[in-house]
Amino acid sequence: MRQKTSAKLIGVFLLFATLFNYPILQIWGSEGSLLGIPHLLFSIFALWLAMILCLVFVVERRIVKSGKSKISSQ
Amino acid sequence: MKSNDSASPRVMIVDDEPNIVTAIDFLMQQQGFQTASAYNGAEALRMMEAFQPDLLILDVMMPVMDGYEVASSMRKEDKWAGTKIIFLTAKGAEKDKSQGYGAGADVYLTKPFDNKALVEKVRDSLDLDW
Amino acid sequence: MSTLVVVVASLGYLVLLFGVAYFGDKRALQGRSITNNPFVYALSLAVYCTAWTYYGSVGRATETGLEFITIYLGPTLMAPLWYILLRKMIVIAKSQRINSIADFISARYGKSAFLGSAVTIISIIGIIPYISLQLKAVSFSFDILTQQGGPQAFFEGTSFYQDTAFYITIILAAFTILFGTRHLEVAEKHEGIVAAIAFESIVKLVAFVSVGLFVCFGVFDSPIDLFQQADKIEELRNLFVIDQNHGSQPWTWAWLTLISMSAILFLPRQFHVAVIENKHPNHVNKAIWLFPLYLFVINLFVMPIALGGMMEFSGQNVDADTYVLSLPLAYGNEYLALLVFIGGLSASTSMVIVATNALSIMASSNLLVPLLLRTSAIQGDFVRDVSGRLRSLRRLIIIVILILAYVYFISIGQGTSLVSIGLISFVAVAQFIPSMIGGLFWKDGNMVGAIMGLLAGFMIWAFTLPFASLVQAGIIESELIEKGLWGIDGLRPFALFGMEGMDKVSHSAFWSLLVNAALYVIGSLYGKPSVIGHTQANLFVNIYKYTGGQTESAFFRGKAQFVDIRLMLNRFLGYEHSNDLLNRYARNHNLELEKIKEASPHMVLYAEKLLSGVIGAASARLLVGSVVKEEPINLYEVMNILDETQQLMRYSQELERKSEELRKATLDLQSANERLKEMDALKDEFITTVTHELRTPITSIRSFSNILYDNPALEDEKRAEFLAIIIQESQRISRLINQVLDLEKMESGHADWNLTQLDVGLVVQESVRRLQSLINEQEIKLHLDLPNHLPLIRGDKDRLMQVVINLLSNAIKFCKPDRGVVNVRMVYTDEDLILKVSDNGEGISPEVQPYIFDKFTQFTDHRSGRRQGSGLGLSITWRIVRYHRGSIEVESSPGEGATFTVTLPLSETRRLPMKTPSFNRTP
Repeated sequence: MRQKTSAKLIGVFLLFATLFNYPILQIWGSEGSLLGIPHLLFSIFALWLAMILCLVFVVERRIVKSGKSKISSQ
Repeated sequence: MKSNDSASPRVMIVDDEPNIVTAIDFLMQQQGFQTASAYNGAEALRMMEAFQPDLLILDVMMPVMDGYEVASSMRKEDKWAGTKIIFLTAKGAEKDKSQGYGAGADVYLTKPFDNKALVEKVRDSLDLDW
Repeated sequence: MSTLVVVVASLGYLVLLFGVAYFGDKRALQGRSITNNPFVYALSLAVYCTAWTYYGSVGRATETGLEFITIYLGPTLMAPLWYILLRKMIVIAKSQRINSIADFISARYGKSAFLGSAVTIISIIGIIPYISLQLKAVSFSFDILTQQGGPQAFFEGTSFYQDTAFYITIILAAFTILFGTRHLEVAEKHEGIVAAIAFESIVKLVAFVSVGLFVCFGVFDSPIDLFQQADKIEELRNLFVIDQNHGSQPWTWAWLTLISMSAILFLPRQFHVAVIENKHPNHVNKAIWLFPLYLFVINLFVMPIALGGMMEFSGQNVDADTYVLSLPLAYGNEYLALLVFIGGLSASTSMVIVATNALSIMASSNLLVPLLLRTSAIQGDFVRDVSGRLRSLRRLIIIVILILAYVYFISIGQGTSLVSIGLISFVAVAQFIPSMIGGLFWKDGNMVGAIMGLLAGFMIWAFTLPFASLVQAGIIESELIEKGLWGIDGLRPFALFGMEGMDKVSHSAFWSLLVNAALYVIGSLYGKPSVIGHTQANLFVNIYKYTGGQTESAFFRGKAQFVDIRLMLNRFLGYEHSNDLLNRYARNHNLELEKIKEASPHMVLYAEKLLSGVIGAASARLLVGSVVKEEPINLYEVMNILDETQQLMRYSQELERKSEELRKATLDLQSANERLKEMDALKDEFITTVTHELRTPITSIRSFSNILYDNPALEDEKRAEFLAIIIQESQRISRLINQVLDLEKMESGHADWNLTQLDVGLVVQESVRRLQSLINEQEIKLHLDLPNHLPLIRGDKDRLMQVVINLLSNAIKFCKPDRGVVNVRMVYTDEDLILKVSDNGEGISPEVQPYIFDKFTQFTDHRSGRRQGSGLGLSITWRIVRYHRGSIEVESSPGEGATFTVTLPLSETRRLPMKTPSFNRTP
């Protein structure tokens, strides 16, 4: 259980470490805007939020799961 | 001193391990000694009367009667005063050694032993007496 | 706005903050902690966001666009790794009662006092610029708000301006002292501070978001309007472009991310809130997403404010670092400006409080206390209350640190932007990466490597950043920058070894970390750790195996006079507090304090941990060492103990899972501990016996091999006889070793059991078949009496066969020499299967009977008066039968032979575990 969570979290780290760095960063850095917000700003904050959601998903689901298994084992 | 009919020294081997007895027996005979063997302390004391050994090679941990007991009961009697005792045992701790010497040992050797060293010690012990 | 209003508001805020802290402490005392939850924990981590974030980010954004965000992306990226890193650090720190990052590193590398002081000095020197930037921020925001000189006059450095910073320094020092140094036992945590910091995190967030909303919707119509207007200006538009000509360099971006990843864990104040003040490792889980969320929100409006400020103040000489405050003021919104000022104040104060506090703990534990101990000022009886003295020491250190920060600020901090000051500190702290990460995961990382790496990294940092900036600021006159150190071109501080084109920060980070990491690895590979270094390395790296607390006392063999220990604790923890703790300890261990003369190793260790909470691991060790006679313990012993203890740990972890059985679990642990002690004694005895048993065959083998070697001319018959003995004795050794291993496996619970449904009758038949040749040889009459249909039982076939063979061969060995009779009988009832094996030999004397299942109880053969067998067979038999939930008994009277009865229950065997529980006791 813990091993799996660790692996998932490392996965999240690797994925976003790549997305938030060169050379991929240049993809977000083109001119122009989205919904009136410059591309780069929009993408970075969108990715950032996505990463937080991933973390919520991994961490909180783990808690829900372990909570459930506690009940079933009683 | 006790009378020795034969010129060759008499060595008695006391150990509960038959293979070890066999080995020492072979070594002693090679030296031209007369040998006898016993497998525990009580047996040894019994046989000594007839065999009249000049030297005992004595194990410590034996059933029925252990080596310390054999040695101390020998040292109580005058007739064995001239008989040398070599302890040959797996117990190598300092306190075992001092217990051995306390019981009346002349030499204390630990197992596994070196054949040459054993023979040498036996010869030394016997030579000194002559 | 009038100075009076601002001063009153600020002081009012500080009083409120103090109230929060007071409330937090009070609740903690009542046992209703307000900080014991993951939300407060996550908020307290936000002490990361200081005036740098609050004012500096906007300033940085105006110059380099989104590059400022790396400082927050780093920690965000680090957050998922907390699950592995931070949790481990917390568990280690708790189990070792660590009180700072210096203590952590020193403890990891063999409680080295030198390393502890090195890390402390690096931290203090490294963090001073960072603290000075807080002073700068508070003072300029105060000046702007009260319009003393106004924003434009900001750089002119008038005298009253300096006074502001000075007064602020004094107020902050007083405030920090008031907060931080009331309690001494650091490991017991400062709940009040944590509560205050969490509160400040909310204040600064609310204030900053308010300005953001004001700019987006008050100054402009909407964020979209703002961006559209900015898009018309090329300079602003380019802030969002990353290509060949715009945006930060890939190098810079990556290095900034990396050093802020390290900062979030290794900055002394972050380490303090994240590790030392942590209430439960599980709080980390929620912080993993809550803290990044906080960073996300606080950064959301940085760009809008930056753009708004640049458009509003274009052409005017307004420092971009002040936009956050200047914008509301420019629009006459004084109340918002006041809120902003308070927000900035909270960002700065929270950093200063925690950072100076963490540094003072470090400095007193790692620099001053060791010094005092060595000069023995404390050992003399005339100093009765050391805890009071320690407290004043810490206060002194706080004042000194703040004064140093103030000096730094007035000498070089004024002309530089907030972020560039802060980054200097980040690179310094990044020097801890190799020894921390290596220390957590690499067992061979040792003190030599850590010292070499840290010192080299620190020196490169000092040369390339702070020293060079002193030169740049003209404080040190030199041509160093252009010509290099001693005129060597390769030693130019911004282009070491001719590496040009990198920005200063990345350049310094690159070289210092490269050299640091390389030396750490090399030093670790070639340096030799001490025994304690080795032990600590193992404890840190494998912490999860050893948590449970009992382990450490096993390494420690010191004993001390109880009065010494008590005196020591009284001095350092205060009389009442230490007596409380000792009473609690005595209660938990069923001891009577009055009767204790000699403190046990466990108690000594407990005292050492209590002390390290106050004065750090290295000092505590030194101090305890002065009253303790420690017996040397060698590496081999340590490893032995570790292995044995692991077993018990696994056992205790399983119990821990069921919290409702906590009480029972403690009892079990106690008995497990008792058993560990017993096992230790048994093991010693066992080893002596085994070695004795091994010596006997080795003696024969050695002697006969020598005979064969020395007598090449021996006749063939003798030669064959002697070789046969050698072979026989070698077999005896291997048999003995197998049996010992078998027994060890069963005792330790490592044995694998291969369970099937089986017919014990068939097992008996098979065993008889195997012994048939022996039976024939000895001309023994064997009566076999097996019922036709035996019920099946669940069991391990091979091992049950071992039982039958052991019993049978014993019977054969000991039955009457000429007319030997052996009876084997099986019967069954509703509940049990019963196997009886009897012989007609001499029997077993009543005195020996109680011990025959013990290890190394050997039978004496009455015929020869010699002992038989290794003495392990019946012991193994007993364990196998016990595993099957059965029992084994012997009936015998001298001269009448012996009967062994094995009873195997039919129902019980269905629920057998596949691994053995350990049976350490023979009946």
